[in-house]
Amino acid sequence: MSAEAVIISGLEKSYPGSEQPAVKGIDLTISQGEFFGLLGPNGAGKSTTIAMLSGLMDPDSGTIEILEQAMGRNRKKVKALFGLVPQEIALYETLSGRENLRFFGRLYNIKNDLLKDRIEFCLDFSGLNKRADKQASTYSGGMKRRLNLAIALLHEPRILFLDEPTVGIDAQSRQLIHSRLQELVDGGVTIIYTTHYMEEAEHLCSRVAIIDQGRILDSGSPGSLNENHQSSNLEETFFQLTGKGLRD
Amino acid sequence: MNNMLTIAAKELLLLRRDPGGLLVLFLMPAVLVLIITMVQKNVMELTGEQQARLLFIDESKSEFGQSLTKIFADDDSFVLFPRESSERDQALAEVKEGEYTACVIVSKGIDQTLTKKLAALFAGNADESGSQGTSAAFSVSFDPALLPAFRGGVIGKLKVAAAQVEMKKKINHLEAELTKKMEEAGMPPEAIAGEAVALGGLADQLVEVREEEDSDEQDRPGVVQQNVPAWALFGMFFTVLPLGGALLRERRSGVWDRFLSMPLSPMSVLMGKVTAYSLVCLLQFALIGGIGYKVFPMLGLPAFSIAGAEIEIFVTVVAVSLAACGYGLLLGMICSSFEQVSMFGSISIVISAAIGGIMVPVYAMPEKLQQLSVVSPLNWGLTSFHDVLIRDTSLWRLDSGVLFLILFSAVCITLSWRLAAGGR
Repeated sequence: MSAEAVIISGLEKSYPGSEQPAVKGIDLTISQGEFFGLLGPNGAGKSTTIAMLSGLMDPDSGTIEILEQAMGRNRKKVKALFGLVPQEIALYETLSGRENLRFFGRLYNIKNDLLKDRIEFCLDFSGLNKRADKQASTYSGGMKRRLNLAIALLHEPRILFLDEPTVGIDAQSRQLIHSRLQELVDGGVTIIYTTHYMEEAEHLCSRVAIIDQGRILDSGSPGSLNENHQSSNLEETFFQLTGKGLRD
Repeated sequence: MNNMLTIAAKELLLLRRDPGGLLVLFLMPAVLVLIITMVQKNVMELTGEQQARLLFIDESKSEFGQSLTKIFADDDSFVLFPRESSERDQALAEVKEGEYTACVIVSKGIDQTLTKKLAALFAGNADESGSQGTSAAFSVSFDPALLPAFRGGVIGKLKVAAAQVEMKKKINHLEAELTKKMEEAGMPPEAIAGEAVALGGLADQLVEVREEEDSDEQDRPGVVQQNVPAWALFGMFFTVLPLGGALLRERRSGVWDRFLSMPLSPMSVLMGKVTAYSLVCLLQFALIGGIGYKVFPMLGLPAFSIAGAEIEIFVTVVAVSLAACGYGLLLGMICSSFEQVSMFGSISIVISAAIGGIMVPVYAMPEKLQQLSVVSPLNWGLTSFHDVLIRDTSLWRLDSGVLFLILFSAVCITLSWRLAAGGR
């Protein structure tokens, strides 16, 4: 497990009509099996970075390497290696949990027998077995978030990108998601995680990067960052680096 | 291919679970084609086929009035309701209220005026016999709500009837004058009778205007053969709204991001949607065609038929479906809200239908709109249907509407794919 999971080099991205680049020169290396947190205020460049890592958009410049494969050249092959849990709840409300899983599983070209097993595993993993055949529109916010996560796990990805996966859900669902993610990391999956909850990042992540205005301000384990900035917790460190001014 | 079929199956499942969407896709065009065809058939009949209910008041009590009564009574275009002179005001009021089509009043003294005019004509007095002389007229009052075309049709028939009576009267007068002149010339009346040309027959119509008909009466273009494909086309293009809306929902819900992060081509996602909604379009056409074939005859309308042109119709329906789906994809990719999809989608289809000849035939439009109709995809579809069903011309030519529809869909799908592949 010594190989790097993700290597980002000189990543830059500007949106048309925007004065400031969203991402300007990010360099980052994430090892396999790491639980990596990407922290920053609104508009810092977290979601843009995740979008470029997961192939939703191309960088203006810079390179992305995932499990030793360059993103630009082997896009299809690289995409099979990771799963994305988007910030939005990306599923079909009028399909049941099982139907959602079956649909996305088929798009990953998982063979029928294996797909059945994977669906059962994902339903169990997300605690949705009892409501698997009910339409997703009848699910609570927490159940939808769990299904959102389960879909990304169908094809057994080696890397998981999660963009604020616990927004707006109750403590029980959050607790379940945290424990399941820890199980995945224990099983060797690399997780790259964005969140606004500092406590969550401090508790889960083995390493974090704090970014603002498209640049990485500092990175390291939560403990070492707190020590370097003489803070009692990650939230204090975060405010020291990004300031307390409101962001649009 | 597998991905495309998976997407198509999912789209059909989502549609099956959306009763509102299914109603829009299937019930709306079915009801539309039924109502519009029945209404248009009635309008077409009003301009020539339906019987006019005529109130007839003969104030003259003359031979002219009697002859006119007989002509109207013998003509299937009219149902005659004779009234007395004393009922004139009431009759006019009934026509104004729309109970009758028109009221014809033959004024008192019309016979004498006509006789006087004829005498003047044979005496060579042009002033007296022509329009400057005393008028010999009968008046007509119409239901104010009557269509101008129907009004014109009734007036035309009244003029023909008047001309027939007038001609008979002229010939009678000519016969009398001829007899008188020959007697004056010393020829015995028996000789005249023996040599006489049947002058009374001069009033008969010798030249007949005959409308050429196809050998098979069923092949004649009628309101059904024109309306069924026209409104099916309109319904098929309305798949733009659910398709555009579904794509926009995926873009906004993050599902599209999920697709982009997966090892599959955006084109396979788009073509999966095109496959599903093209199938919906085919079913729509089958439903509306089926209504035209089975239900219309029950309502007294001719049956819709595609006999002998099944392949051409299938090709046309597929081309229309691809064009509609391509346009739906483009709207779903360009628009950023459901309001934009529904407003822009429906308005653009209604405008395209209006200038494309779906609602009013292109030849009945102002010249500038006629020129504009060539840019309407609905016009390309309608022209193709008419080529096959009515004009019996080939689809396989360079200016065929089918070709334009396929090119239009290719442009729309390519643009959608470029936008989709470009990511966020």
